[in-house]
Amino acid sequence: MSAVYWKELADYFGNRLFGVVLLLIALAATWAAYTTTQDLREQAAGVSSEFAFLKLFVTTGDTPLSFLFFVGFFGPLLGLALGFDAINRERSRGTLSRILTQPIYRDALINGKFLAGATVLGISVISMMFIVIGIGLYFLGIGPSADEVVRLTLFLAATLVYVALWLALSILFSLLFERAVMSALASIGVWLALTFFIPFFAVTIADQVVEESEDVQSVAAERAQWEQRIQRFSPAFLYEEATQPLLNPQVRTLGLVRAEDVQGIGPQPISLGQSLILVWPQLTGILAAASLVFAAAYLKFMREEVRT
Amino acid sequence: MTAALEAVDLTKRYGDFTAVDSLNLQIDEGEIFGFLGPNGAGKTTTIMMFLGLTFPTSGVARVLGHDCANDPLEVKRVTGYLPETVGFYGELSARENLLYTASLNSIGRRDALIRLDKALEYVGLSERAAQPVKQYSRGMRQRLGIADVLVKQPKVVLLDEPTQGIDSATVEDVLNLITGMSRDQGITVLVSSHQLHYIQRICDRVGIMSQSQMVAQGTIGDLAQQSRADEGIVIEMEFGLVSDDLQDALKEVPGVDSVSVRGNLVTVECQLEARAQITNVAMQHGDSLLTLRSGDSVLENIYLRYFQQA
Repeated sequence: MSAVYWKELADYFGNRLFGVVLLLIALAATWAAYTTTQDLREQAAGVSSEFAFLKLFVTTGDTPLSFLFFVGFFGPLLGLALGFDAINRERSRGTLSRILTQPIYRDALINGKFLAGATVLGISVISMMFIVIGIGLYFLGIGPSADEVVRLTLFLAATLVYVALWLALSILFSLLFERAVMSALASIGVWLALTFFIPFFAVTIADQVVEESEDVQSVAAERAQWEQRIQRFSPAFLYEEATQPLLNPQVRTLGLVRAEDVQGIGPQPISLGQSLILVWPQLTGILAAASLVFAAAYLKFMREEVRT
Repeated sequence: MTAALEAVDLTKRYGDFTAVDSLNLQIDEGEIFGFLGPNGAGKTTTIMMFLGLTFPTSGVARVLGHDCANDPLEVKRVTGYLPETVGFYGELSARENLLYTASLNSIGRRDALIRLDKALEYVGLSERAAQPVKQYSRGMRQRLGIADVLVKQPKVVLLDEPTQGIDSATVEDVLNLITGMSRDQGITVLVSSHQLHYIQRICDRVGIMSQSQMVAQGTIGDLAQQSRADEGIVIEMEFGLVSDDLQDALKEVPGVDSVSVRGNLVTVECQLEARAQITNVAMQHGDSLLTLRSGDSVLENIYLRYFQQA
C-alpha cells in the first residue's frame, strides 16, 4: 500500500486543479485573518479580552467572512477536487487493470488513495492554520493560551474529519460514475444541496409538519426545532454546530434560545469540558458519516468486476 | 511437472448468461498457446479468471499450481498481463511508470532500475524512456506494455489481443518480442486474438473458443488434419497449359469430388487420401506444373469451419 500512497501523494502535489483551489483558499483565509486582526486592534478591548486569539478564527467583525467560514465552505471543495476522478480516471486510462494485476491486495489501491488524499488535506489545513496563527502573533502581539491551543487542536481534528468525509464521498462517486465529469458534477451537486439548500428544505418541511395555531410563539419554537432536526442530516450543518462552541466559548447552547432560558446569565465563557459536552454528538456524527461513506466506497470497490 | 496454466471445468455465469462454459485447458511451461475466437466468446473472461480478478462460478483455474481464486497474490507475483489497450499514466515518463510497477512488486529501487533498463532496451524504447507516455504512439505503448510485463520477471504472461489496432510493422515487432521472451526466458505465454494469421505464426498450440466453449484444441497441424479428415480438402494447381486429358485424368482419381478450371488454374476438391494420387496424375498428365498448394492448410479455414458448425 505504501507504494500506492507515495505515488498518489506525488500526483496530488503536482495536480494543477488542486493547486489552484488550495491557493484560493489560502489567500482568502489570509485575507480574513488579516482583516480580523485589524478589527481587533481598533477595539482595544478585543485584544485584551479572554480568548482574543480564537477570535482570529471566528470573529466576523466588519467583514462577514471568517477563517472558519472559508475552511468550512471551501474545505469540502478541496476534498472533492482530490477524489472525484480517483477511480474512474484509472479505469478510463486503462491503468486500473494493470495496477490490480500487480501483486498487491485490491484494497491497497483505494486505501492508499484515500490516505494520500487525507494527508494532502491535513497538510493544507494545518499550514493554513499556521498562517493565521502567524498573522495573529505578528499583528496582535499575543499568543494563544493553553486552553486556546486545545480548542484549536480539536477544531483542527473536526475539520480534518469533515473534509475527509467529502474526500470519501467524491471517491465513492468516482466509483459510481464512469466519467470524471459526471462524478465531479454529482459531488458538487450534493455539496450544494447539503450546504446551501438544506436550510430552505428545512423551512419548507418544518412549515408542513407544524401546523399554524393561536400560540404563535410555540409554533415558531417548534418549527425552529424541526428545522434544526432536518438540518442535522447535513454534515455541513453538523460541522458548523460543532465548531462554533469550540472556537467561541461564549456559545452555550445550540439552536433556538428562549429568553427565559438565558435570564440572569451573562456573556461569560464556558469551560472547555462544557463546550466539548455540547459538541460531542456533532463530532461523533461527522466521524460516523465519514466512516460510513468510506465503507460504502470500499465495499463497492472490492465487489467491482474489473474488466479491461 | 505441474502445468503452467491449467483450467478444470472452469465456468463463469452472469445471471442466465454463461460467459465461459466448463473450460478444460492445460498449457505446459515454455509453451506459446494461442487463444482464438470472435469477440464475446469468453476469452477475456477466462484471462480475468486466471488473474484472480474475476471469480469462477465453478471449476478451478491454476497458475503454476496456485489456485487463482484463493491465492491471487501469489498468482499475480508470477504472472504478467497485457490488456488489449494498455494504460499508463500519461504525465509520467516511461521510466517512472515502470518504476511504479516495480514498487508495486516490492522490487527495491536499485534492482528496479537495472531491470527496467534491461526491459526498455529489450523492447527498443531506451532512447525515449524519459519522455512522458502521453507522447507515445499506440505501438510504442504496446511495446512499453511488454516492458512493463517483463520488469516483474514473470513466469507466465497473458496477452489479450496484443496486436489489436496497431500497424503491421509494429505487429511484427510485438510478435517477435512475444516469441523472443518465450524462447529467451522460458516464459509461458497465452495470447488471445481473433487475428488468426498472426497467431498461426507464433503459437505452438491453439485453442478455439466459440460461444463460451472450447470447440477445438491442438497444434495447427492437428487441427488442420482433423478438419480435413472430416470434410475433405481443396488443392489448387497452376500449369503452363491445361489440357482436357489432364482434367479427365484428375476426375478419374478415386476420392475426387470435383475439378474446376479457370485459365491455367485447376482447383480440385477431394478427400484427404486422394492427395498422393492427384499429384502423381498432375505430374504425368499436366504440362509443366508451376504451383501446387493445398487451399485448406490455413488456420482461417479451420477457424471458419468451427464457427459454421457452432
